[in-house]
Amino acid sequence: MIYGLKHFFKKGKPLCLQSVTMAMASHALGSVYHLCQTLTNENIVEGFTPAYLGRIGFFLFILTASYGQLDRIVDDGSSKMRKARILALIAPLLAALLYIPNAVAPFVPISTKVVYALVWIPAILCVYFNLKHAIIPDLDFGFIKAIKPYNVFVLLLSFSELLCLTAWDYCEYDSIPLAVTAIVFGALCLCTMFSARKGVGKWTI
Amino acid sequence: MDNIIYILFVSISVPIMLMTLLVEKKSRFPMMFVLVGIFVSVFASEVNGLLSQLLPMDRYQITVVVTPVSEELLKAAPILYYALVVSDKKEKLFTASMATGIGFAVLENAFYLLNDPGFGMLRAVVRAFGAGLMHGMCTLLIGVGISFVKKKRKLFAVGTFGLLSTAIVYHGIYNILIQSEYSIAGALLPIATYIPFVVWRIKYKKFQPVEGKK
Repeated sequence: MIYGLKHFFKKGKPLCLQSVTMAMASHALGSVYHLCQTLTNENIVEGFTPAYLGRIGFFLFILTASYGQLDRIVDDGSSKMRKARILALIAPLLAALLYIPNAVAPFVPISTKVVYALVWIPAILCVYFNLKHAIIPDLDFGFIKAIKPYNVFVLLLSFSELLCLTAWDYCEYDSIPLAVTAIVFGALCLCTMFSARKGVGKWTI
Repeated sequence: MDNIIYILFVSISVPIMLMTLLVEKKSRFPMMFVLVGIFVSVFASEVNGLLSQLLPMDRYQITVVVTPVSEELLKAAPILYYALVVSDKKEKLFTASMATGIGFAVLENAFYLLNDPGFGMLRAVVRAFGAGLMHGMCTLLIGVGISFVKKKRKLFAVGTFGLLSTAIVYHGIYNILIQSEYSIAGALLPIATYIPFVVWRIKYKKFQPVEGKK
């Protein structure tokens, strides 16, 4: 997030980079909220808390970057891209499958299931665009190829976040899996930021 | 006895309203949004009161889960309206959003301090730099963000919701910290966000081309 604020919030930088930074900021704030609530009070509310809004915000900002900005550059709507569009449907299907363990688990309260559904909706849209942008053929001047690593990392980031949410309930908030997922997520965030800067930087050369 | 929040509303907003009619046009704009913020604060107090009766939560849970959502949504509403209907100019939205947040905080602070048994200068300073600035910063985030996402239609709905979520979570963190044993961290959080923002703003303005010059 700090990396993004330092490098991407400058005049002339593409808006998608700022959206990605905001996504990281939103997720970081959500995690801080969760951390603060865990550290300060045992009186944690079941179901909806603003911490989940951090996660929803994360996916919405990524969606803003992918659908709102990159999609119109990457996909011109021609039939050559049809194969990629169809293949990209695998990602939302996989994401939807990840929701099933939460939906069927008897120990997950109904309020949590509803909140998870709210996180999953933008996530499903998000992974579709990211996979599409990662596999779409590069027909022009290497623009698409330049942002492919970014899309792969965002895809991994999105799936790791969904896995994290699922694992939370199944691991009963055990500290070791939580620490591992946090480290993996942090590393992926850094890779995403670097690859976004590198990829979009190639457009301006 | 009349509700204290309405007494405060009348005693604070009426003098500002009367002054708004007399000042020059440039000064009128932020003052109008301070008034909007004060009005939103009264409205939010009613909405929060209603929600606390309806939801099966204690006071702590209401303040960390419900009020951040309701207050941020209500504060963002006039800014959204202004951006959609009147103008989406960055400078205008910047002023409007900060003024709305500060106006909101003025009435809320006055209300909390009057209801606080430990009412004193220290508490007033903490609330002024804490809650006062926090409300300003949250609404500012939405205002500044809207000026960016309003540029493209595809970005607007998704981006605005993302901005709202960020502001709500920030507000929630402040409410958690300020009520905990780490209340000093809560009190310092808004100023710790405000200072880097001011630095960024000064830097940004410095590199902006001056109007009329090539």
